[in-house]
Amino acid sequence: MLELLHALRLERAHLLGTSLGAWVAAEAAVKDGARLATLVLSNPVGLHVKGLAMPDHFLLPPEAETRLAFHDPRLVEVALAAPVSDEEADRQLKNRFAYARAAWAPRLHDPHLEKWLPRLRTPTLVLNGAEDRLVPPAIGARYAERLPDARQVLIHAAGHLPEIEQPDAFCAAVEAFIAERAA
Amino acid sequence: MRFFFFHLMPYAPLDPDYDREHASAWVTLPNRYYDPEQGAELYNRYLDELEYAATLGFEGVGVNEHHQTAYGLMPCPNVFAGMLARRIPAPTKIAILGRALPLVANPATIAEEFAVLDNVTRGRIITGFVRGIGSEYHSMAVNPTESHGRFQEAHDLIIQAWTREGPFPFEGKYYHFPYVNLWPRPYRQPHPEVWIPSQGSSETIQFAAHPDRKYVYLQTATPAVMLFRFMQAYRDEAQRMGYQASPDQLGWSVKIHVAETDEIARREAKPHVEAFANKFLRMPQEMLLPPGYTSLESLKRIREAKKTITGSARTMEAMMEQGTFICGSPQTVIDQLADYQKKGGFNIVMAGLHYGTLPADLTRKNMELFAREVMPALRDAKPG
Repeated sequence: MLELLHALRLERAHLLGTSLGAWVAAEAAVKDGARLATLVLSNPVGLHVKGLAMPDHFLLPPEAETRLAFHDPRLVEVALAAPVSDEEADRQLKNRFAYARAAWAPRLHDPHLEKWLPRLRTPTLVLNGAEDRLVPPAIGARYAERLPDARQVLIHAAGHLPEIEQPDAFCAAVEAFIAERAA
Repeated sequence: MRFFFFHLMPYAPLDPDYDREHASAWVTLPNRYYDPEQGAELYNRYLDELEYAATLGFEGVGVNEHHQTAYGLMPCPNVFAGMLARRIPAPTKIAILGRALPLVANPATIAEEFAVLDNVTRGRIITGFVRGIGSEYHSMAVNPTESHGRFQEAHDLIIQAWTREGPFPFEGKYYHFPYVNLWPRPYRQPHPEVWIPSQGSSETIQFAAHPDRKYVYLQTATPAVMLFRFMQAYRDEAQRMGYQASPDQLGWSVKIHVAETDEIARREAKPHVEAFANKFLRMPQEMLLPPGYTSLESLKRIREAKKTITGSARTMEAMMEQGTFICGSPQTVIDQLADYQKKGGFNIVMAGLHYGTLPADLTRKNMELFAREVMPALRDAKPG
């Protein structure tokens, strides 16, 4: 990703990542945050909060992940009813493998990331769906605590996918943050 | 035909109603279901059975490895081999089937344990190398996407530890040790006999059959039609690599129950083998096949075949039909083993004569009838 930013000559990019993508974004920003204008971490994983309970993403039975992802049960039914093409099924399998490669052990975190966060001075917004049952907002709170220029905003009536469940509130939060903080 | 006696040591007194609350007998089944009083009794009984097998004329006995499960109570197979090493006299062999190489931080410790057993028994151990089934990757927090890679590298480290003069450094992708220097060195030269138990995969077959290795390939838990296919694949691979595989490089691990008549055998076995299939094997797909454990292609093939060796109810009849359970009078068992040997071309039979909840008296009777009626009839049986 850093290579991509470099190749595209993006000097003041706004980087937004969600869930596993937020972890990747944080890792990239820690290594080369100077080229970023702002950072948004939405429902992030990547840090270990001792004693924090979380469902085992690799032992969830089929459908369970979808049921846990949304706050609104109607969205669960829509998601489960959506037809899945062979191509899409393949893509999901590949994603699953990549997810396991990155996140199996240590589970969903990099033990070395937290100590570098105080060095990351890029203005950062941590967004969490307040009703996230897949990834606890406490992890986002830890990011916000450790980063020198960050705050956490909770989006209500939203679970792990606030960008889908509460798109207006999600976008408003991001836009307001960028408008306020991008130098 | 060559015969070994194999034990899985299940926690037989498991409350059969556990599955009303828990989806699996592995990883997440709370260990309060284990009663140490009953467990201690069982362990000693099972060890007695293994020692008894040695007196009945089996070429060897086999122990096994599984973690955090009621299915089998041997998380540390080398400890069990150790308990048997001085109790089972020569010439009976002790097979560790198998040690799951990817699950440990330093595979040289596996090489050490095996070397100790090899010295104490003066070369009577058989060392089985496995990847470990999917559930072990949940239990031991090892990344299943690294399963194949770790297995290969751990294998190389162990073989080198056994055969290269130490100290030497080992610099791999997963394992880095500045000093590998095995004390003791193995007794048997160049190293203990290596077997590869497997549920069947082309990579494993190719790996075992390679002329540099020629490891015994032991087929486990597979319907007969697949068994024959995998055995042929091994022979084809050997041929491709320029040699003819011997039937002594091929083995079949199967559950067997012998009784006076077919009817008695079925009546005796039914509740216990069905407990094995439905209560002890029970685990969801996510546990059995974590992402990366098999290749994407293999996983898709398995899903298409709706392979259900776990998770769905199995009957004794279905198991007999597909050839994962042999059950009958001595003659029935003799005939079936001979037929399978002809079709599969293997010489080694790993007989699972205890399974599930089979009680002590029936286990002994099974072992005795097998050793006294079946084995002598097949001793000189050869494939082809």
